[in-house]
Amino acid sequence: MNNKPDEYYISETLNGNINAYAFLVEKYKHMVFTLVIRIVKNREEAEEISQDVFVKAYKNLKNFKGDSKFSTWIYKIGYYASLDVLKRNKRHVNSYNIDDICEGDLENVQDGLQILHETERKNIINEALLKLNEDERIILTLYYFEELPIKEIAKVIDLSEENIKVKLFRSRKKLAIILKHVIEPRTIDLI
Amino acid sequence: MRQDKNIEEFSKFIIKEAGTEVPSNDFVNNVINTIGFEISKSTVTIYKPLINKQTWLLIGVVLIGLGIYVFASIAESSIMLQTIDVSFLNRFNSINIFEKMKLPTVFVFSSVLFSILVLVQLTVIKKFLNSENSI
Repeated sequence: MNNKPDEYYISETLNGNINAYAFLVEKYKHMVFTLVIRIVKNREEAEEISQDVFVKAYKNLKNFKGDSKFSTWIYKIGYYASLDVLKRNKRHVNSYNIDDICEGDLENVQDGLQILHETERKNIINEALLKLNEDERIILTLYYFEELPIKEIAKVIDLSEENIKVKLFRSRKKLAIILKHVIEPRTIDLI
Repeated sequence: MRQDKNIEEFSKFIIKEAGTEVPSNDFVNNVINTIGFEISKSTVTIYKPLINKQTWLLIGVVLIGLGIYVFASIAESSIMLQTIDVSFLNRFNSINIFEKMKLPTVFVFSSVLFSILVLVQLTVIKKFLNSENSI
C-alpha cells in the first residue's frame, strides 16, 4: 500500500475510505507542521493550525484538480492558514539587516556549529531560522529540506519563479550572517 | 561565484541539520476524529420534511377535488333547497345565548394581548428552529 502514488489515496478518500486519508495525513504531517511552526513560532498554535489544514484539505479534496502535486497543494493551504493567524494576531514580521559575509566566515560558522552538541546545534539553527522573514523560512525549508523545485515553491507562495530565486539568494545569505552573529561570540568564549 | 556555491552548500547543511518538527502522537487521530465529527454533523442536519412533496401534491389534489365537488353539489342542491321550508331556522336567531353574558374589559384586553404574544412566540420559535437546522 505504501508504494502507491498520492493520486491513489486521493481517489480512495473521495470514495469514502477515510483510512486512505489517514495515510496522507501521516505522510505529510511532519512537513506541514514544520512549515506552520516556522511561521507562527508557537507549538500549540502550530498543532491546531496543521490539524485544521488537513481537515480543510479533506473538505476541499474534490476540488483538487491535480494540476500540481498534492504536497504543493497542502503546503499552500498550510502557508496561507499560518499567515492568516499571523495577520489576525497582528504580529510583526521579522527584519534583519544584511551586511556582507566572506568565505572565511562561512567556514568559521560551520566549524563552530560542528563542535556543538547536536541538540544545541539544532536549537541555534532553528532560532536563526526564526529571525528570517516568514516567506524566506518557507522557501529555504522547501528548497533545501523538501527539495521541491523552484516551480513548485512558486505555486505554494504565489510568486513568480524569478522572485523565488531572488528571495532564495537573499535568504541564504541572511541566514549565514545571522548564524555568524550567533556562533562567533560562542567560539571566542571557547578560545 | 565560488562563494555563492559555498553559501548554497552551507544553507543545505543548515536546513538539513534543522530537520523537521514533530507534531503530537495523537495528530493523525485528532484529524480523523474531527473529520468524522464533521461528516456526522453534516448528515444529522440534512433537513427531511415530515410530509414529502408527493404527499403534499396528493393532499392538494384531494382538497381541490373536494372543493370542486362541494361547489358543484351546492349549485345543484340550491335548486332543491327552494322547495324545502327552512323558515323554522329564523326562530334560532331570536335566541341569543350571549345576551346576559358580559366579559370584563380587563379579560378581553389580556386575552387579546396573550394571543398576540403567542403569535410573536411562534415566529420567534420558528426562526430559532430554522437557524438550528441551517448549521
